[in-house]
Amino acid sequence: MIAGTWLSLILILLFPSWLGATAPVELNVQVGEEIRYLDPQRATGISSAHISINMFSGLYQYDARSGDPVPVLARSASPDKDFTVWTFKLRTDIPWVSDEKGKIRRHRNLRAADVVYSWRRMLSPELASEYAYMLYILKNGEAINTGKIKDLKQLGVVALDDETLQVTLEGPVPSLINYLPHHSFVVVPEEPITRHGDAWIRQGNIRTSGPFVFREWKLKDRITLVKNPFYPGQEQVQPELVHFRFIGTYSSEAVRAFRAGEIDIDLSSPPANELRALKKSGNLLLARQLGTYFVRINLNTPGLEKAAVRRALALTIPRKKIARYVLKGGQQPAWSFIPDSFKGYKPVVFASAKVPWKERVKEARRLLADAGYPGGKGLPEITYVYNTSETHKSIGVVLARNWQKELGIRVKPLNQEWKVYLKNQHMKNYEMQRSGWVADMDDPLNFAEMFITGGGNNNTGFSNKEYDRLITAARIEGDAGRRNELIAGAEKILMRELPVLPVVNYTSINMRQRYIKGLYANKFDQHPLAPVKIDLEARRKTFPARYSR
Amino acid sequence: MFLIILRRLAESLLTILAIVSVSFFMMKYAPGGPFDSEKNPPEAIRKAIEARYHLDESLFSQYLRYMRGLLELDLGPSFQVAHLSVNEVLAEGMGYTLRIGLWTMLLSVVVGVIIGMMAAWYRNRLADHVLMSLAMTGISIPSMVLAPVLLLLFGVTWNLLPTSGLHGTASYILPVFCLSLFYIANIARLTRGSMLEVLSSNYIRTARAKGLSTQAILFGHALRPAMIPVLSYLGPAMAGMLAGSLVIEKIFVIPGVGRQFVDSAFARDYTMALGMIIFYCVMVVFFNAIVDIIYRVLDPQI
Repeated sequence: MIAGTWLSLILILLFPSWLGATAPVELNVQVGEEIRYLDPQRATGISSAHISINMFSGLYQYDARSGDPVPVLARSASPDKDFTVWTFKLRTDIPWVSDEKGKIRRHRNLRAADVVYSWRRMLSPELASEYAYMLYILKNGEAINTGKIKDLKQLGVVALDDETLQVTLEGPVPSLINYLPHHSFVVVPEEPITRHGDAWIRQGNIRTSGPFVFREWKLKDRITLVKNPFYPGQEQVQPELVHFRFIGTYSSEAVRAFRAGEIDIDLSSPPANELRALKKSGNLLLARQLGTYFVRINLNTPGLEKAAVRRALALTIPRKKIARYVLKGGQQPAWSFIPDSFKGYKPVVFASAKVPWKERVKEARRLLADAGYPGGKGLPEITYVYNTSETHKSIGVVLARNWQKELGIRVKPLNQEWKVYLKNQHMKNYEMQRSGWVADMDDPLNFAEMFITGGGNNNTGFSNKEYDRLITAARIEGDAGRRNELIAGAEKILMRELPVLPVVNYTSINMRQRYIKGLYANKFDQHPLAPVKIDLEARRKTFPARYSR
Repeated sequence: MFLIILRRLAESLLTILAIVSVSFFMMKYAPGGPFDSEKNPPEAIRKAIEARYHLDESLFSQYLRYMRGLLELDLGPSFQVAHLSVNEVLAEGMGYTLRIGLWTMLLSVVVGVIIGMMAAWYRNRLADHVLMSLAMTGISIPSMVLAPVLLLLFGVTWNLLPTSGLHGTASYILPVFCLSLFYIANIARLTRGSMLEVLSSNYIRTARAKGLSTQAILFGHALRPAMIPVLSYLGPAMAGMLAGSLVIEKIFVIPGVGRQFVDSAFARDYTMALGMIIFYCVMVVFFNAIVDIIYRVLDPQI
């Protein structure tokens, strides 16, 4: 400690610039790997979403606490009786702003035409946005995106006047509002995009409309936003500068920077081996996410083409052990493919899922024997592929050892680098693969429609006519209860056939210093930062060397 | 002299060209592409994205396109950092990597040479043994072991130095120290060895007989010839410092080209990875050439 005091004295003498004057209130937020696109309409990863939801406004926003949609630009929404034509009344007091050499400049206010422009751009084939399919619910959305309709005016969205927006859908979507907080529905500024093209998001060109304004992007390092003084209700906002830092996901460097006080909030997950200590120190925020960790099976694999064998495997996954001893982040065992945290949806678990472990093992052995592989004899060795990560590796080893021990099935875990793993998944060049899925909106169909015949993310060879029929019916069903029944019917088939073996449901894992208030974990892992409060006195006390100079 | 430099330059260009061509095809044959992700976009969108980056063309015409760009020193657009070209990304990251590299080089040479000279002067006495043991320790401890320990002490426990990023003078201290330790040790050993040889030669005996002071003998007469082996080590060492900065940049979260390089390879950002390969090639070739030239200045016989 004494050595520390002396050293800091010497260092302060050496670097007097540390003795700063009254500085603006800064908030340091670690978001994981560097983002690829700042343009919210081309954004793909969760890190981009963390930044863009604080920078741009849309019709709705995720609530900081619950993750449910709360209106931003929308004042009211009124659907017609079959939920196909929606009329939105918009507020008109949110301006476009830009940071010009440290000074925030106010431009014109947002209006309904901005929404029309944005959604048309989102679907234009030239933009080639990976998330464009989110807007396929709009009338002619898919046709425009795939180039079948060239005239953007035919898209089902029109501005009746500056504050009235009319949205026409392909079919009834009672849960439309649940889609709208997603960053693919965000509103982007027409003028800089027309003038600068792809370069519109560069410093000096960009205009934003959220509670924070874009200031700069230092590659591999940080994106800095400043408080937007022209955004409604900004008197309540405390942070004046927000630095989104890119250190890494599951990164021990990020945990170190957090412990040193360089990071106030970490929205990416820390490595599993740090979780226990972080939990103890009260820094973790956990919430159940709309996501499932599962084993994907290639149905063309010899032996695994039999549903009985797949069910035997599903019965003997030690889910609780994996959640408690490998993942350690409060994950819950998953007995169904669709997680149980969707509003109003009750998932369908696979048969005998909830009977005691010993009986499950007994049944699994019987199933295996009936399928012609008593004690695993006659079943060729199966390769289980996971993408490079200590956690995935541990789960792979636990699964393999367990199946060997309980069923006599030989399983070999195999590591593959991420892109190789993805390629093999899409080419169906695997036997068993570790997989995961997280929903983009509060809608169980987002999970269920994955396994329709030929679906882009199916990749298992699973194909079932009844399943396809139920999903197609659910897509156009206007009644929410009836729709959930159709989805449950489909999930029942999925849990009988088991082309996927559910393992656990994901949790979102965030870290925050204890002097941070107003940050909550929620099911979408989305975090508007405007409500965040920093207890400055507590921060000074926690990191005196950093904040008391 | 100029002819030699010109010949070297031509050789280097050929080397770089060969490396770039081989790397180009190797990268393209690695499974997976820059836009593969867990959520598969519909086929039409996928095609549109690929067309945007000319990935739908034949491999050979992609190669020609890349090489044409290279002639104009244009490294192409980045796939990973969508709004910038590889040139811009390089320009931004290069500063960090070079600054760390040059400070490391300076520290290693100054400290290493002084230690080596002292050890040689006090040959087989206590000071020599202590200094050389320290040098052995420096060679043996890898920076990926040393760096986290120092970060824990100075960054987390005492909160004196930043643990991540490169902002302000203080943030250079630990990365430069960790990176240079190995080179200080090596240069010290090399200097000691060649210094011992020089000190036992006849002209130094003459200098002593003339009654010259210790400083005058060491710096005026012995240093220059003793530096030749150190210099020939510096070329590869500089390449090592740049390559070693990959690890250091990762541990200290420095936004240099090293981190960019590793990430771009994993992300299949073809143009970026190739740009980084070219950067490292040019650096290695450049520093070797510089060493060659200084070599000739120090000892015209070569």
